Amino acid sequence: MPLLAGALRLAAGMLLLLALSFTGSWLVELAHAPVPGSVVGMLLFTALLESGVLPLEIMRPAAELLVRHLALLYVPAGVALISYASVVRHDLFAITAAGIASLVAVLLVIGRIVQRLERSA
Amino acid sequence: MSGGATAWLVVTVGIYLAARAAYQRTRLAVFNPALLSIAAIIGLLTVTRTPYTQYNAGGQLLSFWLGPAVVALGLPLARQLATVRRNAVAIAAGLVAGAFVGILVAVTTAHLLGAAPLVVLSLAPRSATTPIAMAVTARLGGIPALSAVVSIVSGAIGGFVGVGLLRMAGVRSPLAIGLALGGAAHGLGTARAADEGHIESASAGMAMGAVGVLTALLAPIIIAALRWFPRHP
Repeated sequence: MPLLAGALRLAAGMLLLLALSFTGSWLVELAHAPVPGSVVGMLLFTALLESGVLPLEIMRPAAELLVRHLALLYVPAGVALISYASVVRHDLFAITAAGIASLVAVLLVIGRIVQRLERSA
Repeated sequence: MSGGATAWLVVTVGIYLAARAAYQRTRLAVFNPALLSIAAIIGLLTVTRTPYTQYNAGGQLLSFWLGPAVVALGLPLARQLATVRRNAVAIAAGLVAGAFVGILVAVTTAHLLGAAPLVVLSLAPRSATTPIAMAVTARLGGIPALSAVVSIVSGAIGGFVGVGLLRMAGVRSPLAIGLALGGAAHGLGTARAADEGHIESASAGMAMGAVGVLTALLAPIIIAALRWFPRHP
């Protein structure tokens, strides 16, 4: 029954992603590293897919579902800004200027460096 | 879970789906689903005088899946890594320099303009895609919600002005344009890059994942190094 197989694959994928996230968190606690555990989990996941240890086909439904609706997942955490209204109002100009300056700097640095070093086609 | 928590969870999903439909119909950056949802819910909580903790009793069920969702970003990254092997050196140099400059410029600009240390810290992962930016800030002890909004808004601006700015700076290579858009403006830069062509699209997706990871690794080091200087955060 393809529906059941699909649901099982989705559930297995979700559990594996959850396990990798917890493994990452456990590793950064162990190493006292100031890096988010989920990012370490992401690197583990990339390596497991690249090496073929985890088959892409099994992981695809769960990973694509989470990535497609990623924005929904961070809405509640974003709403927490309500508790920092006065902080944001006080530093609004600095926040805006820093955001735009960083954006422009990254655009130009990546664009110029890659164009300079790239092998001509 | 109480009835109120379930109700706020349903409201959150409903508002998100409506915002997503509005965005897909108009393709206008102001209808960014996440930003629109956050603003609408903040408005609702203010009008109904609901405390955030009460709202988040339901909300945390969504936040719980942020960790696995960041892990899931490894899938597009793994798929796109294969397409860019030819120019590995140029790409690595550009993305490492870009991630480094992105953190340094955000942090020093905010500090020099007198922002509070907590705010300065929260701006460090500006170039990372929103869920990674929040995770980095949470780990550094800043305000993750501020990182989220800064990341979304700057990404939207980058998607809007990025291509024009790169053309003005004489950047014409499709690979360079794609990497710059994905690296500087993550999700929305990647969406804009998809309009330019398939090289731009694939390289932007790859840059978004890579700059997110690089920012997570570099931000704590840069923050620690700047603390050394007495006038810095």
